[in-house]
Amino acid sequence: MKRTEALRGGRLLARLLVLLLVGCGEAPRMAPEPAAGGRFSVAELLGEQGEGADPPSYAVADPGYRLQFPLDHGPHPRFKSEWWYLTLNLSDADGAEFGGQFTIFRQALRAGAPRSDRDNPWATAQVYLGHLAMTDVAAGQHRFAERLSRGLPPLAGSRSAPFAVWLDDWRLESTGTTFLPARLEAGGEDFRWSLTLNEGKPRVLQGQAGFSPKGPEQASHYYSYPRLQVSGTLQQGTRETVVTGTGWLDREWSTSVLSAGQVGWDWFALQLDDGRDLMLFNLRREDCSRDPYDHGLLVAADGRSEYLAAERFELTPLRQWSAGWGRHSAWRPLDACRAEHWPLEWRVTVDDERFLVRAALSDQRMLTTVHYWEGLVRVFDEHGDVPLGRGYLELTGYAD
Amino acid sequence: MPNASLFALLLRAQLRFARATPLTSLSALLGLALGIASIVAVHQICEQIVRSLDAVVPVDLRAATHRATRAELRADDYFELRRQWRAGDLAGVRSLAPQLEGRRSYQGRSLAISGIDWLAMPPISGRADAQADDASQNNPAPNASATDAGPIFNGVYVFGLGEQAAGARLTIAGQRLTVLGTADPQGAARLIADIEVAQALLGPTPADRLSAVLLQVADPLEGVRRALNRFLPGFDAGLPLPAPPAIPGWQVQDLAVLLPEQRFGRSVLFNLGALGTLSILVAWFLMYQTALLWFRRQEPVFALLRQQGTPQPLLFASFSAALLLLSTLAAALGVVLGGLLARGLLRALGDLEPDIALPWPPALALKVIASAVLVPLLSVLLVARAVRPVTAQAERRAVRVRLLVAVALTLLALALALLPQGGLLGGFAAILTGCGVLVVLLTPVLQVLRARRWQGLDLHLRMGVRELLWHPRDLAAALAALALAVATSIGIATMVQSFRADFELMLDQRLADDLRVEGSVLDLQLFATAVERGAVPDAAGQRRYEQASVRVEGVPLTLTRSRLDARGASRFAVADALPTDAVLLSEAAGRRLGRGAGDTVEIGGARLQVAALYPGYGDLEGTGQIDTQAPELRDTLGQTLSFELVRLGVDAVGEPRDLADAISEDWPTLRVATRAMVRDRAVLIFDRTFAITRALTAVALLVAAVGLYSALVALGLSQSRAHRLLTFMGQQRAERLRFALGRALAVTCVTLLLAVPLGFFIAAVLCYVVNPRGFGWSVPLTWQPAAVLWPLLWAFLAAVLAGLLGDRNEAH
Repeated sequence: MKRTEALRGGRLLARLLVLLLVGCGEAPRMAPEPAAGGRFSVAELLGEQGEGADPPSYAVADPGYRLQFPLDHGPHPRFKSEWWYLTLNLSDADGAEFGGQFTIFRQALRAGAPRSDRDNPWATAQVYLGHLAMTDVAAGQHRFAERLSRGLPPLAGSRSAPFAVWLDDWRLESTGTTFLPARLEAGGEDFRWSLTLNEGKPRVLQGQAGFSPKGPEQASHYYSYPRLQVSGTLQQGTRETVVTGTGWLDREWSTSVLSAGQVGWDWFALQLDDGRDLMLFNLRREDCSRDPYDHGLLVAADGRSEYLAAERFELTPLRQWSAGWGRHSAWRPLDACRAEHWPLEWRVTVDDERFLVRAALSDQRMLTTVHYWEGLVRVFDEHGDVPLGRGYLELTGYAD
Repeated sequence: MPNASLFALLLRAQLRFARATPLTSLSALLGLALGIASIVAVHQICEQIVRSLDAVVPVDLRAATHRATRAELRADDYFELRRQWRAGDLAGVRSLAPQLEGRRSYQGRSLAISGIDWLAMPPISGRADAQADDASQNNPAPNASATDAGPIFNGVYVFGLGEQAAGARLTIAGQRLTVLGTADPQGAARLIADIEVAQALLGPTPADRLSAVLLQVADPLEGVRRALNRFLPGFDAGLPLPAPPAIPGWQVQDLAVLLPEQRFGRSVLFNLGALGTLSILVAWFLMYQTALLWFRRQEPVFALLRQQGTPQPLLFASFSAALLLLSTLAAALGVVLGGLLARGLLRALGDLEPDIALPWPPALALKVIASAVLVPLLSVLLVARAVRPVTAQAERRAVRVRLLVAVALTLLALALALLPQGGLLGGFAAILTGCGVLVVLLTPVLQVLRARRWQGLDLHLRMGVRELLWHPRDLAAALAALALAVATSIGIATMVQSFRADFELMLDQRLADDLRVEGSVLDLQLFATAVERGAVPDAAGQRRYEQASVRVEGVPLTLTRSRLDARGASRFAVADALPTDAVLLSEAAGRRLGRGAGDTVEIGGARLQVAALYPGYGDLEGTGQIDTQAPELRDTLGQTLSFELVRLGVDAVGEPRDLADAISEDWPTLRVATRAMVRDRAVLIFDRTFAITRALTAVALLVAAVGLYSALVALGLSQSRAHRLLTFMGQQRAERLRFALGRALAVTCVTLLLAVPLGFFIAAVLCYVVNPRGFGWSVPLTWQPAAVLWPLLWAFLAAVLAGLLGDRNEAH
């Protein structure tokens, strides 16, 4: 779940909350139909927009704002949504590949500064959602977990100094006074990550000095740590594996919304063996036209970063995979814009350079409240013969 | 001739045969259709009731399975428990959420409020089609100032607050709330909300106190429960509940125990499902009997064809195909009839809106297909075996084996009924095993009866009796079906009558006041004042009945406060006035709390002595009675327990009916009913409740009667040579009638010997095993002759009619 904050934070969380409140199950004899079209609006449910009430107002991304650290590692409750998004490309001593994902979303349910209510210990304006995943390529396994909680310190929260974000016992926090090194402790039903994150390349600011436009009126504040040095253990049942590798951490916050006509997005975070890192973001539109706000980022081995405008890169899906079929099948060009299934093999063109990106494991679906595909991919030369690196791919808006 | 052509020819011959014997074919068609109709009706009724029952569970509790409590429970205890859970210390717990319960006044009523952390345990689950893209609600204005939009979730479910449209706005205690759903507009006032809203509504004191922590515990039998429920909706009530997790320092209780309405409903469904299973058995017996009848009819032709070289498998294939055609037609007819039956019965129960489509789940289709396809095919195989000759020695050996099996099954049935661990399923298994005993004993009973001389009977009567007893293989299935149907009828009728007697006794005790007056708290207060001042002519006195919901050791209890002087206490079969520091507990409440007369129990902070346990049909929730002078009680949050005035009992100087009319005229907002009216209404509701059971029993009897007809026709056919000889020797019409009466007499004898004991066994298991385990109260078994005589009379008449029709058919 990456990139456009509208898609990620706003849409996902709004959807989750509606699912929780009205979309699920029937209450037989729960009599009358909702007033408008048989559904409630999110605003009504969240108490955000009622008769006679002032409309809610959130802060929005400001191009003049200069990111401040360590302050901006922490939460931004005046913005509607934000996330701490970590993906991992790891290996054990024998070279066996493992992928990992740890994400904490924060969503504000009302605008304004945080308010404490001593008379009501359950009062909060924040909701935290966590997704955790593990891919064991050799075993052909993908495991995931999801958590949701109100933003109360004993349950879920975040802070800037010393940095920490947590949701129950899932925790990503600095081990000292600086942001890095940091420690990740998080587990699902049958797996657990215990990892230390060290700085590989310096932090990069996305967009224009951390201001990332996503549409004519949409933008976010956005920075990344593209090549974290990661080491630690993965526990699967009683088996503990020592793993090392790289990670990619994204931090983004905003109040923007999803614009009409968008049906999903594809996000690539590739770490090449030559030391370069590549992030590409492709927003799919209903009319199959190229979204002008598609963008990318190329980080050189020495840490210098370069913004990639939409015209400098191209993403072409080659083969799709369906969970129902259980195998790869030929890509159908006619469906290039509206793929029916998960496109797990891509041709990536950046300027004159071509790569082939292929999923390390087909089934890395996140069958969480909202279904999407997020998993480990391998990067090859354009013929698919020479391995050039690894990375993570995220696909949303496809049929499951 | 190629086999395919020969098969087609044989099949056409079969169909011609069916057309040539319309009475037999139609009766088989109707019998099978009725059998399938009962399968469809039972399933659809149960499925519909399951839906209603799911609505009984408050939305805040649907995701939870257990409730954990401890003294002085606070938010920090919940956070600590959550930490333990995340550390893996609470094995089997899937999720947990804090719950806050309390009451506040709203529009002159006492409003019960329940709040749960909806993010930790969503109030509802399942369908996922909500609108997602609500992005347009955001305001992109820069540097927005803070606005206070209230608590994070302001949606609430409301009950008993009159008609509220979903999406409507309510303002309670300054909180602006959106109605997500409403139910039971005239019931007790209740509101379900997210815990933040609940805390805001209940006020700051005492903040951070909790009522309970709800748990969702994994059920090891979940898969079995789901599968069982799919094929027999509600049947899962028979499975044992998962053991509550042991959490040191906490009391954990199963919500199934704490939600008695749902448990009651599921137990009713279980009984219906069990009855439906018996209907299926009777229908399947009939299918076998039809196969046997057709085979008997065509046996001579088959013998000839075999002699001429027609392969035996081809004969059976064409025979099976014809039977399948019949059963498919019957299934189609049965589906239509079943739908009508289900709709009619549900309407009679008042449980069906006119335009609601009844459910038609795949499991039901599977049951119908199995009955229409698999059972006929299996029947053909069994028929092929049944018509093979058997030596007398083998027959004797088989009888000995049957007797041994019967003894073993009887012991098993008793064990199943008596072992408390068996739960509802144990009770039902005991009944099924009892039915097995009946089936196994049928042949030995026929042999015992066959050995009797039947002296004193007229020759033709005696011949009829002996003919019936002499051919167990032709008749066993039909007699077993009839005996099962009669036994079920006796068992259920006896149980219902026992219930009714107990219920009427309870009504006579409880309805002590001449009039019952209900209405809003304010109206009742005004009316009570008027009575006190003598402003209501002919009102001799009044008695207030106030109610409050409390939790005692975590168990919910509906506590009624009223004047329990000698007269008031007599409503609960207690002779003396109730002391102020005493409580009367219902049988169900006593059982749940593990208390009996003489024990003490702490309710709302006061230690009260249990003066007595009172029995009562319909006591679902567990109730208690205290006197108006009882000490002040407190709720789980430590606040004074508020009682809601729910009704007034009024005594009349003269004719209660006249006083009721006068009150209705002068106080139009009050609802007034005389004791007789309340009694009649209660009895009517009782009778409606059991209408389904009676109707299904009647269908089973009808199907069994059709089966008996088929069996007697088959018997007649196998004995046609002997019958022709009798006719040749001059048997008259009246003598043939006596012959038929003789067969009916034998049928009744067999039924009497087998069905009556089984019927009483079923009634005893229902009253003493299933009721206490399923509903929580016991009902003394009351025997009434009509419960036995009617089904037996039906069996006799069915046998006479079937015999006469069979003879006519045979002559044709």
